[in-house]
Parts: sequence; structure tokens; C-alpha cells
Amino acid sequence: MSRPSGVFKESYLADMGFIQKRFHLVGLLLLFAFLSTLPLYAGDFYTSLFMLIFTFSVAIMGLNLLTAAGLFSVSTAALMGVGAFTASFLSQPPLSLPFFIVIPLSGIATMAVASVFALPALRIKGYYMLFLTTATQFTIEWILNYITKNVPGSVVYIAPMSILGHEFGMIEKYYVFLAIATIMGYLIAHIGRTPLGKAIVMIGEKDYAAHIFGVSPLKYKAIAFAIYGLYAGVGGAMWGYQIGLATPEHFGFMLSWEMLGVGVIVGGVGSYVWGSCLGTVVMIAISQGITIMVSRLSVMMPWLGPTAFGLRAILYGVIIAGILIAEPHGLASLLRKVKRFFDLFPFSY
Amino acid sequence: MSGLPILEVKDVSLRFGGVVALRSVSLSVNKGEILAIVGPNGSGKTSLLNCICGFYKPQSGRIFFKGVDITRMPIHKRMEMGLGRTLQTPYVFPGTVYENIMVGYVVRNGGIFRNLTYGAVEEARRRAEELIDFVELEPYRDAIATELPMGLRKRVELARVLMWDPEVIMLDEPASGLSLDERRDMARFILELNEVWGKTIILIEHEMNMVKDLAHRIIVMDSGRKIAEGLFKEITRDARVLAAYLGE
Ligand SMILES: Nc1ncnc2c1ncn2[C@@H]1O[C@H](COP(=O)(O)OP(=O)(O)OP(=O)(O)O)[C@@H](O)[C@H]1O
Ligand SMILES: [Mg+2]
Repeated sequence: MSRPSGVFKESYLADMGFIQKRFHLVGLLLLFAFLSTLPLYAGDFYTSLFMLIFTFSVAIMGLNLLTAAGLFSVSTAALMGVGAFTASFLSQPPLSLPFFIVIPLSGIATMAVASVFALPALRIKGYYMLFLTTATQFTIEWILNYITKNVPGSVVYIAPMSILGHEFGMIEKYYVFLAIATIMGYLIAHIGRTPLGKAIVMIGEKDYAAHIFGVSPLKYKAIAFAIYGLYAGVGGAMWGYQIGLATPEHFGFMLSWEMLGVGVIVGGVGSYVWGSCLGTVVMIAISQGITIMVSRLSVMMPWLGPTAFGLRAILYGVIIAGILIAEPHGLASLLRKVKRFFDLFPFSY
Repeated sequence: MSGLPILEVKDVSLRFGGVVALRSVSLSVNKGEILAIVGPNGSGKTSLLNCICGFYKPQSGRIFFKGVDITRMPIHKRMEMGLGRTLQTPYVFPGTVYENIMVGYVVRNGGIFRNLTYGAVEEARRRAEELIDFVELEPYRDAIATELPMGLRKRVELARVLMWDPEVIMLDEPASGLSLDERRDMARFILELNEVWGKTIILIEHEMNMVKDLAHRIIVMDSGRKIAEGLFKEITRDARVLAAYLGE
């Protein structure tokens, strides 16, 4: 085997580790140093903003993997709704389960729901999926509305996070969220490097050709859907714990589109962890930024009235198009360029 | 050299609407041999492999592999049983050469949870590295497979198929589009697979020198029919073969 000199690994597994060079480790440590001290100096607003980023990053990781399998879905928000509603059911009396059981169970329940809705999707792919998952989105929304039809505002509540009667404050919750995002990120990165992870990517191109090499498209599409459901469900439960309540309105169609268009495509399909995180940051930054801008605009120009909200979608589209023109394979490829630069540093020729 | 039949095709016919791709084709492949299938363009060679691997469903006829009727079996089950094939136009997905090869591990190790263990990752890795050495792709290990030239993609496919250690390997024009040097390399791999690894090989090839050097036995096809079968020197004397190649 020809290898760059000075790179010595005792096992294949170490060679395949996520941390190949010292500077990868340095980068990762810096990021963790930043994230783990954030609530100590940032105010409530930024702490909760980052919790939101962790939540959506998790859901988008699963969607990113599904997209890599060639399956486009615009029902992620609805599946998060399933996760949040499950968390409500499990965390409230009579069950009153603790959060560290509620969150994984919500993921598993959502995985089951996603698998049922995946059945018709297993035989189609690409943009046909958009029509099918649109139907899924609205069907689930309808079901959630039906469940809460006698509740004013269709609201369900999620019990506060607590251990042994001690109720968590914002900062404690922040660390729980950081831990969940880290675990889920590690897991999906691991899945990505296993043969199973490669099989998922292989069916994403030409599924019939993959089949000739023994990779059953049906089987690996189903697996991709299950993983997708799990991640959406965990994300939904996190959402529930952060806000304390959930209504079907939180999990609308537009959010599903934003998660696919910005969270995954702007982030970079196939980059399950870093692409999803970058995509989520952009998604949340844009939506926060635009919300503020639009509300200012409608104060300055009251005659805009409700049309100001139309601006939101337009601005969104313009920003996304701009990013994708500059970086067609998403922001993750920008990250790869930075990584490459440092890999070769100081001999960057 | 050759042993008992490992693969048998019996009276297989295949039609696409009005086009008849295979007309009642029968053949048997002996364990340990290199069987070449030759014939003019459109004579049905690829269609025959597609029927054997399960990509096409023949309208009539039966196919037996290791004594089992596989005519109705899904493709991936046939691969699990020990078949493997490469494509005339190689299929690689956007990922490194290494990833494109190690994915073949799932064929015979399909257990979902088993596949997610560190042990599976390491085993797949070890096997893929051996095969990368075998097909001499070390310098391209981390190259993006979709950016490679045809000759190297064909090696990627071959290594991928070897990941699940099939007993019968079907190669659809492994040397087409290759340079002379690359063709020699490919011929060397095929010979080693057969003689050292003991693989049974079905070889579709237009390159007659390669067929002459490698094949133990040759089948000639024309317009969906098997028109001749035998040793190289036998089929080159066959009047029907000459007619098919020189035109009626
Ligand atoms: N999917 C298909 N749909 C319709 N016709 C097909 C299909 N596949 C093959 N055929 C037809 O079947 C016949 C045999 O084709 P096949 O590809 O098996 O030939 P071949 O011997 O492999 O030729 P070549 O040397 O060009 O690869 C041709 O007439 C072809 O047009
Ligand atoms: Mg052909």
C-alpha cells in the first residue's frame, strides 16, 4: 500500500477514523470548546437558538441520508410532529416517562410511522417522491389535527425535562441537546462509512444497476426510510422538550421544504453531519433574519400588509439560489476545500 | 480442468415486443472453466447474461445454478448464491474507488445490525484492500470513481464483484474500450481468477485474440440463437460462424 510518509496506523479501523490529522482534532476540539461554553456567556436568546440548531440538525441528518439514497422527501416536518406528539404522550401522565427514555422511544415510534408511509415510496424515486411525500405531509398533519380536534388550539404539552424531581433549566437542557446531537451525529457518520452506508449511496444513483451488484434497492430504501424516521422523531421530541408544547401548525409543509432545500441541498447531500449542521445554521439564520426584516418592512410600509409575508418566500428563494450558484454541491464542499487547504498546508500546491 | 455443470440454461427465449433477443438458447457451464460467448453486435450476448443474473425475465425456459432452479429468483438472491457479473458499461457511484468496491460486502453479509458493527467495517475494509491490490488500483484508491477512465472503472467493478466471492463470474466485454496494455492486464486478472482462485468464468468478448488465449470453450451467437459451440479451432472452421461474421 502506498501511503504518505509519516502516516502510520495500527489497524484499518484507526485508518478509517473520522480524525485523520492533528488539525481535524484541533478543529473539532475548538468547536466543542465553543459549543460547551456557549450558555455561560451567551444570553438566553442565543442559547435557545443553538438548541434549535441542534434539534433541526438531527432531523436534517436523517433527511440528508434519505436524499443520498435518491429519495426526496417533503414530509420531514410532519414526522417531527409525530415525534413531538409521541413525546407528549409518553412524558405526560399516566406514563410520565423520563426524557432519556421518551426521546429514543419517540424516535422509534416515528421510525415505525415513516416505514408505513414509505411502503408506496419504495417503488418510486427522484422527483416523483415529492408528490408522494407531499401527500404524506398532509395526511400526517390531518391525523395530528384529528387527534387534537377537541383541544383548543390543537395544543399538546410535553412534560418538563427532569431527573429525580429536579427540573432542568435552560442551560441543563442545552447540554442534553448538545449531547443528543453529538451522539446522533456520531451514529450517522458511522453508518455512512459502513458497507450498509455505501449501499444506501449506491442505490441513490441508478438503483437498477446497484441491484445487479446484489444491492437490493427495496431493502436499502426501506433502511434509509427507517433511519430518516428515527432522526426526524428524535428531532421532533427535542423540539417538544424545548418549547414545552406542540401543535400541528409548528410542523407545516413550508418547513418540510426548507429542510430539504436549505438544510440538505444547501448544506450538501451526502455530508451527513457537517453538511446538515451547516444547512441548518443557514436555514435558521435566514428564517430568523427574514422574519425580522419582514416585520420591520411591514412597520415601515404598512400598505404592504399581508403581502409582506410573501416576501419571505421570495427572499428565501433568492438567497438559496445565490448560495447554490456559488457552491453547486452545497456548503459542505466549501468545508472540504478548507480541509484540503489545511491538509496540504504549508505545501499547498 | 472442467468439472460438472455449475450453471445450466435450458431453452431460454426472450422477446421485447416484436424484437426477439433470445431464441430457445441452451447451454451449460462447467465448474472451473472459462467459457467465451462471442457473436456480432445485437446477437443477444448481453441479454443472455441479463437472463442468467435476473435482470431480464425470459418468457420461457429455465435456468439452474448449482442444481437450483433460479429462473424466478430476484437478482440479489442469485448474487448471494454465488453469481456475479460486470456490465458492458461499468456502473460506479460518486464515491471513492475504495467505497465502490467495499460496498460488495453487503451481498453475502446482509444482516442489518451485523453490518453496522466495527467488526464488519474492518472485515470489509481488509477484503477491499486485498482486492484493490489484486486489480492493481492502489494509486487510485481514494480517487472519485466516476472521474476514472473506462479501463479503471472495469477493474473497480471486477473488484466489487469479488467482494462476495462468487463462484461464477460473468464478464460482459471486459476488454472493450481498453488500451492494449490494459487489455493484457485484464487478461492476466481473468487467468489468475480462473487458475489460482478456481473461479468459473463466462466471458463475452469481441476481441478474438483474447478469446483464443483465454477460453477453454466457445459459444457463438447470432440473432438470438446459439449457432456453434466448441474449441477455438473448431468454431473458426464452422460455416455458419463464418457466414454470421462475414455476412450472408
Ligand atoms: N431492454 C431492451 N429493450 C428492447 N430491446 C432490447 C433490450 N435489450 C436488448 N434488446 C435487443 O435485443 C437484441 C440483443 O441485444 P444484446 O444487447 O443482448 O446484444 P449483444 O450481443 O450484447 O450486442 P453487443 O455486442 O452490441 O453488446 C438487440 O436487437 C437489442 O436491440
Ligand atoms: Mg452486449
